[in-house]
Formats: sequence, C-alpha cells, structure tokens
Amino acid sequence: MSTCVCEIAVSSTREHFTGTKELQREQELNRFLADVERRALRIAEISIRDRDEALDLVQEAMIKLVRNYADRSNDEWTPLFYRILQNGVRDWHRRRVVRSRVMVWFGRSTSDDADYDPVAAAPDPAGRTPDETLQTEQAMESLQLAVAGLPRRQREAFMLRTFEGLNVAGTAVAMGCSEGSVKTHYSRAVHSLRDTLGEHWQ
Amino acid sequence: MNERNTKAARTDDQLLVTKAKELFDESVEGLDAETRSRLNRGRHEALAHLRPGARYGQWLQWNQRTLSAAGVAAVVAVLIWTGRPPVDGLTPPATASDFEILLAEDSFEMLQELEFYSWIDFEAELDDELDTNGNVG
Repeated sequence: MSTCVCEIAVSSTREHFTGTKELQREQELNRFLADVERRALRIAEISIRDRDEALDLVQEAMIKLVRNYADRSNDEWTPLFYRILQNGVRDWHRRRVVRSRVMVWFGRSTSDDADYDPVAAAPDPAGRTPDETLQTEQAMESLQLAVAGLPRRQREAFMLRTFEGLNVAGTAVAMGCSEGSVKTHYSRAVHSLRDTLGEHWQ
Repeated sequence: MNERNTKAARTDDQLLVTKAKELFDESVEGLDAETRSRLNRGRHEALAHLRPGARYGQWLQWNQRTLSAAGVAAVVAVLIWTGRPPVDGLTPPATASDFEILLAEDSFEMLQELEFYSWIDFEAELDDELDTNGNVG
C-alpha cells in the first residue's frame, strides 16, 4: 500500500517537474520569437515584396521551429529559425513561378507586383519632419530595391549578417553552406550594393 | 596608393553596412500596430503547438488536407488529360513537375485557388456556348 502511495507521489512530482519544464521552455520560445519576429518579417518582406505573404511565411517558420526544434538549445534557435524562413522564401518564389505557368496554362495571368507600392508599405516613424521622413523612406526604398535585386544567396548572406546580426558561423547554418561561401556571398553583396546605390546614398 | 584605395573601399563598405542596418532597424521599429498584433497572434498560435493535444489536432488536420488535396489533384489530372495549349505563346506550358510542386502539402491553398479558377473557366466557356447558340436569357 505504502509502495503504491510512493509511486503515485513520485509520478505526480515527475509530471509536475515535466510540466514546469515545458512551461519554462514555452516561455523561452515566446521570448525568442518575440525578439526575432519583427526583423524576420522585414527580411521576408524585402525578399518577397509582400507583407501579407511575409507574415504567413514568418508564422509558418515559427510553427515549424516550435514543432521540430523546441528541444534544441536556445543558441541554435536563431540560425535554425532563419534557415526555415529562407527555405520558406525560396519555396514561395518557386511556387510563384509555377503558379504563373499554371495560370497561363489555365488562361489566366498573375500580376502580384502591380499592386505593390513600396512607399505606401513603408513604415511611418514618428518624431521627424516630413522632409526627414521622406528622405529616410526614399533611402529605405532604394535599399530594399537594391537588396531585392541581389542574387538569392548574396541577398540571404547580406540580410542575415547585416540586418539580423548573425555571425559567419550562424549565417552558414541558416544558409546551409560553408563559412567560406558566406564570406564570399556577403562580400559580393556589399560591393554590388555599393555600386547600385552609389556614393550619394551614403 | 593601392593600400590606401583598399582602406577607402573598406571604409565605404562599413559605412554602407552601418547605414543599411540603421535604416532597417528604423523600419522594424516603425511597423504599424496591426502588423505587430498579427505577429503576436501568429506567435501564440505557433506556441500552441507545444501543448498536449496539438499532435492529434495536427494529425486530423493533415488527414483532412490530404483528402481534400487528393480531390483537387483528381480535378487537375482530368484537366491535364484533356490538355490545353498556352495562351500567350511566351510562357512555357505547365509540366508534370509543376503539378508535383502544386500537390505538395504546403501548396494546398494554391490548389484551392486552381479549383476556383478552373470553375470560373468552365463557367465562362458555358456562357460562351450559350451566347453562340443564341440561348441567352
């Protein structure tokens, strides 16, 4: 009888411990995602030039991270999350090409880009004169267009290193390539952006 | 001289990266309340996948999606079978591999759209036939 009571007590303690551990993990994940979500959205948005679609991609990346990598150490989450997101962006572009082919096959055309207005989609930061705001918006618009025009791998390396602040090793994990490749893509991206944006942009 | 140019280029690169980062951070800070709210909701929905019972829900959802996708795939297969040439002569026709991508689990929403568009096409053709036969009401 006493053995039975002890087993129940141990089981209950274990469940409590597991529950507390799970709750703690959920809180850690919540903090991580809250910290990364806005930058991730802007990175995805620059890549695909559509905020609604970017929101969907970020949410999908969050779900996949939670489902598959919640038990990984916190240090691994950032590169893993961005790897999932970059894969999502890549799939999105692939599906878009296929969709346009299929829509033509069905006798329909797709022109998603026509609806995109980078100025209208630009944020509205407070506390500056309209001239300053306009200048910032124009500079950001130029940057977005230049970054969006980079080859895919260069764009990924630049955004992960510069915007997200990942180091070379983390960027390599996120991109699924070697650290040497990251350095090459990043260097080429910076040179290309300097050429595209010109000296006046700086 | 050459070394000086290299140093100048590095400084320019650094300036560009710094300014790009500043602009990006400003754009992140300037995200509107609705977008922030949607991100917040999305995060909480994602975190719900950690809770007990989420796995069963995923399994059910997967089954529903698979069954629905199979139905739509059948429609697509019939349309491929009946065949239809590209209309603009510029875009290459859809291939079997295109449909493989469409049939992936993640593309389910797009398949739903395809079903809708094929229905519109069917309706349009029906209207054309009615017009041609003078049966317009």
